[in-house]
Amino acid sequence: MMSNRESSSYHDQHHLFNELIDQYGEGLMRLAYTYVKNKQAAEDVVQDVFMRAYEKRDDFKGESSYKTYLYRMTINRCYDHLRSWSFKNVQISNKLTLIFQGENNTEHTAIMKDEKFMLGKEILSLPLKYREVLVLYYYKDLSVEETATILKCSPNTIKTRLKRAREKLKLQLEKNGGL
Amino acid sequence: MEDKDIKDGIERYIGKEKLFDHQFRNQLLSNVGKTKKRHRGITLINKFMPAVVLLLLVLGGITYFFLANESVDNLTTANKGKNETSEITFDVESHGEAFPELQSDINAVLKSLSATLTDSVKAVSINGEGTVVVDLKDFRQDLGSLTTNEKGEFLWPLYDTVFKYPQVKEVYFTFESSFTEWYTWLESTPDPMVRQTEQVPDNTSRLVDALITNHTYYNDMYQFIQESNLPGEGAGNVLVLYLEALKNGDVEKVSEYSINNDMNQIETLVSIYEQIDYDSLYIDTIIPSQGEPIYDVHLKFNHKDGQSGTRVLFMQFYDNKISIYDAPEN
Repeated sequence: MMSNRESSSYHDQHHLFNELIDQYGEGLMRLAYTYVKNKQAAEDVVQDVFMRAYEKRDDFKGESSYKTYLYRMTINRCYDHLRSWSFKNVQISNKLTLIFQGENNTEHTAIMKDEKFMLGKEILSLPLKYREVLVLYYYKDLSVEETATILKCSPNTIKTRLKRAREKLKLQLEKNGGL
Repeated sequence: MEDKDIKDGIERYIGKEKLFDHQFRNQLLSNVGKTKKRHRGITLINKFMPAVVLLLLVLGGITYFFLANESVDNLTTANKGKNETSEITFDVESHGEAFPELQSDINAVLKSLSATLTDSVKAVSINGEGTVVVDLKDFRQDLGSLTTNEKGEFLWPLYDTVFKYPQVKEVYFTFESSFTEWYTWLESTPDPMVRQTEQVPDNTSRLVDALITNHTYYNDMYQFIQESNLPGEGAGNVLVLYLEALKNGDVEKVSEYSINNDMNQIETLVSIYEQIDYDSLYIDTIIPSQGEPIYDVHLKFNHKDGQSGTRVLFMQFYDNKISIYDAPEN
């Protein structure tokens, strides 16, 4: 049986996690989605992150921000997912579905004409190394230093990748007649 | 393409509707604190059953392989950076060959970072795959409570030191053999530090980072160079370091980046730059040469007496080396 103090601590921690889930749930889902590009897979990643974070709550001393900590865990779980067999299987299924369904329904065509949509599509089709710096820096509004901490690189590496990512994106857009 | 376009583009592609819906939130709240994962039903099991069987076979094979080889140490496939629920430990001695040079280097770096850290490295070894294990005494109490930024400042010199040896591919630091203690102290994840294939952070990069962080005029010039698509990656670094060397009157450093090795002329340059109010210094324009890999960098500034001035530097890019020509009389 838990003592009052343990019970209170357990209650506090659970309450803290409720707050973390509310504060970061949507952001982490969107971050995970930019990596795995699938809602179901993103949910799995985010669930895994919160469960691990809860299990390891005693190790977290609060010296870094929860945001950095959770982002980093999310990205690591996304890497795991992208390396996994299930990801490759889903990729093949998606491609087959597109081949059999075709892409010519009206709604789809209208969306495809949207320049911003096309830009987002091009960004998310960049190689992971470039995609992730664009997502973290521009989309998630992290600083170069925060991005460097999360990706375990030096700030200069991040700046170099950002520059190359923009160049690649520009080339890709020119090639595809975008923005 | 503006910066905002990138953000909007991703948002537009992903869609405006909430991905983190109410149902999933409730599911998460009820699952947090439980060890069991969410089940998605029999369909998913059927779908992934072949993969599960295959995975079990592979894991079985790997386990058998390691058990059959008595050289197995704690660095097994099963716990190398993956198993977060049990402690990850390394036996530094059985991991590989001793690496006394690196041990000595890291001891020196730690001592330079904090006087209390003397002989803090217990052992260092490297295996045939270039994986290094650095076993440290548990000095966390000696350092007191560090912020994340302070830990970062603490880490980079260590990583620089380790990766200056080309045979090193990745490194695990441990406290008293425990990798778990190390990465939890860093509030990180159980992954080793891996050599960056692009640009390994070095002292130069950190120095430039500090300069552009602390001085708006350097930051603006650095960004201008970055956005001007000059060839090579280091043009911004070279310009900032060159100007800083002139500002400090460091003739030797100026000559490192300058085409001109005439020390008398460099000293003249130093006296010219002493008159410049750096807070007013900026790049007005950069003009590429038509025939050569040379760029004219036009600087504008005020002198300390308030008079305005201009200078033109020539940055040349030959054989992957960036040099500056800055004539005293210009």
